[in-house]
Amino acid sequence: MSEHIIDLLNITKSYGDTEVIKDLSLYIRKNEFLTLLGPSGCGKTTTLRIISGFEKPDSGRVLFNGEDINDLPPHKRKVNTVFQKYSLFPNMNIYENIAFGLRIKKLPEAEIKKKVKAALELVELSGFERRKPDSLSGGQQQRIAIARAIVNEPEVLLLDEPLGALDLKLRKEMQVELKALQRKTGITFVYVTHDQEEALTMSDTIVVMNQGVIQQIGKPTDIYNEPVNAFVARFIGDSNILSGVMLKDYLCEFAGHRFECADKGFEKDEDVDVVVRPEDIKVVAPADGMITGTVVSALFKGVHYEMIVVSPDGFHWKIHSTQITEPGSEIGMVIKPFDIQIMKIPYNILTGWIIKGEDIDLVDIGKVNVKYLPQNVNADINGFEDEETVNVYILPQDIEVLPAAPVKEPEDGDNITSGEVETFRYKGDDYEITVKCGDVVLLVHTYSKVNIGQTVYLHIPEDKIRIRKREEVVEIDDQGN
Amino acid sequence: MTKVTKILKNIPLYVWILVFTIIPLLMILVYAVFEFTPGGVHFTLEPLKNAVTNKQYWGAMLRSFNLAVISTLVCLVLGYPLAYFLSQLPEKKRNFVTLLMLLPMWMNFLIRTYALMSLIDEEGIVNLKGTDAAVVIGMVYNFLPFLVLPIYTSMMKIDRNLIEAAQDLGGNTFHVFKGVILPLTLPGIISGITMVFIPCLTTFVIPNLLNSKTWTIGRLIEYKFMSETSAYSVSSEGAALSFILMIAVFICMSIFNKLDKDDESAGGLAL
Repeated sequence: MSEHIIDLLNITKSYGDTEVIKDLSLYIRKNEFLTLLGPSGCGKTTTLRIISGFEKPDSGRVLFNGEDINDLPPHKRKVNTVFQKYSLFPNMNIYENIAFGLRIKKLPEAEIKKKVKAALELVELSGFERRKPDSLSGGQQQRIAIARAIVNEPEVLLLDEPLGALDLKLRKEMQVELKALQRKTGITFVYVTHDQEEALTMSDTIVVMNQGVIQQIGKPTDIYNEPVNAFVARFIGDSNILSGVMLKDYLCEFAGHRFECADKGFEKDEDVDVVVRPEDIKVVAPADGMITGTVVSALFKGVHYEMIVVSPDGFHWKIHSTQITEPGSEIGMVIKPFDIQIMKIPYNILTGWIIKGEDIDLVDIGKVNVKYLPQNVNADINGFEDEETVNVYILPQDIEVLPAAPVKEPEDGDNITSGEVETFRYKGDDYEITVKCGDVVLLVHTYSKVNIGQTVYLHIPEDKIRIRKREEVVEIDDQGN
Repeated sequence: MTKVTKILKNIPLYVWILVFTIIPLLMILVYAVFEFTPGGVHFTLEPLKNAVTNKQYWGAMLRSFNLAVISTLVCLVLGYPLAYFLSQLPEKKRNFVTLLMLLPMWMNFLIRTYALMSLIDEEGIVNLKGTDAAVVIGMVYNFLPFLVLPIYTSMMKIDRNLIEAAQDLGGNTFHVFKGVILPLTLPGIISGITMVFIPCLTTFVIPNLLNSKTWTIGRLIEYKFMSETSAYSVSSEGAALSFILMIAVFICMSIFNKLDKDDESAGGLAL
């Protein structure tokens, strides 16, 4: 634990009714370059502001070198921030800007002068002391902002999308320089960005966030090669994401073909998401391919061609290849086992208990009360004891959103429940929504568009409800840890 | 656009400036240095000389300066925190409080001053009639919004990130104020001071109504014009005094402007 410089423990934060950070726990090691990566609104900037002290978590604790700093105001924390819009003081010249923090510490002027000079050398802007911030280019201003922060020798430097306002070429240069700077100074960097390439280039550790929840923590290569869920796979790099079935260990079926793969530890015939990177698909003659497809389009992207290929099952594959195949022609595709990434699908896991009907004929099909849906549901409870507590698994895509409210109030055994839509997200071809039904929140994939706060009626088909004994339960954890 | 059309477009502006600024100013100068009598017009420096050398006139001028400085300082002490308070309010409340502040301004200046007069005379809440305090209260009451608004505007323009940046670098409330808020609101302070100091220096209605015992330069000029204007000419001494006052105002304004510019070039934070 001693090497942790910052620990975030069970942090939650809401603005009004919007929960921006949900029970986030994270540690940051000394001297590492850690990146918080995610789309806008994922809570990454709020997390950074909680570390700098500009936001107070609603609950949870922030530890700095093991000490609780929850109640410490920003100016007393040993962290410094490089702001997105530079935020240089326009009324001061560059020297005064960089000296600001040192003046507050009441350092002797000679020492301030030495340190400012060193900081300017570090960002390669020596001789700019007398210039005013608005006479500098964006890139230069950003360097001054960095110099102004690191001159205070913080233990942790927080960077909030510092390169967001720079053009592509300058951004790439600054990425390399920032990484070099971090190595040279040994300061712990916590970097916020929505740019996955930036994160992959610079980081020691990447934390992928979405909707206030950490999706995956890992080294850049791990995040790229082994995304834990469809969100991470989509967010990091281009990818083909298909629905598949895990037939047994090291064998899965998708796109109408059985593929050898490198994954195991799934249940028999478990539904999974399959990720294949566009550059991992080899284009061969149709007869030599594992599967075939017709090229729909081909675009030259500089180093490679990006082709869209439709396989017979209708899936649109994205393929990167250095050789072009004319649109309209048929190709074969070969995918190596190690290039197939299998991901668990986030199940709804609920607690239920068995209520067996009195009628002997109904022994096999009985009710399972799922905690705490408003109504009991019917399911196959063969092999379970009456009043036994069980785990109930329901796939998000197996829950149907009914187009209208049923004619009569749902009752036990209809397998219809109702709830209020809490969150709503477009996933590319369908929507992922969460619905609060009674005391549980159900994750639902649907093609129908709903609104947040709307009451929806959900039908859970009897044969799609999987019941497992408590002790057999394998922990299904979509966080991957 | 050619130069000709540009000039043509600006003609209304030029006419306005000519008719309402340049000609009246020239007329003041003309009345100050020419004597109009039934016998004819002749040049004289007598009124100007008299205005410069008369000790009583200087007394009135000094007194006006004193009152204007005190009133401006009181406005600043009251107005700066008020502007800060305003800028911190959420938008809806801010608009409402700004409206409350401006509401009295929509009433006639004279009516406002008469209303104030009834509050601070023999039958009012406190009797300040005929004191300088009454004049200062009258000026502050009438001119405070002119100081608050420019400061408030410059405060609203401060990027919140700059305040956070200062805190992030270890600045407490005092450091943030001295290093960021005060220097960035200085242009607002200067224009606010200009907007208050000059009217305070020249007003005659407020001292007339609230303290008619002693002279200010504004009252003096008014008195000269009212008592010495004849069928042939306005008061030449009044015109001379106006001319001197105008030069004093120009000097004050150029000092204020210089303060503003100096700040821009120097900057910095001495703690």
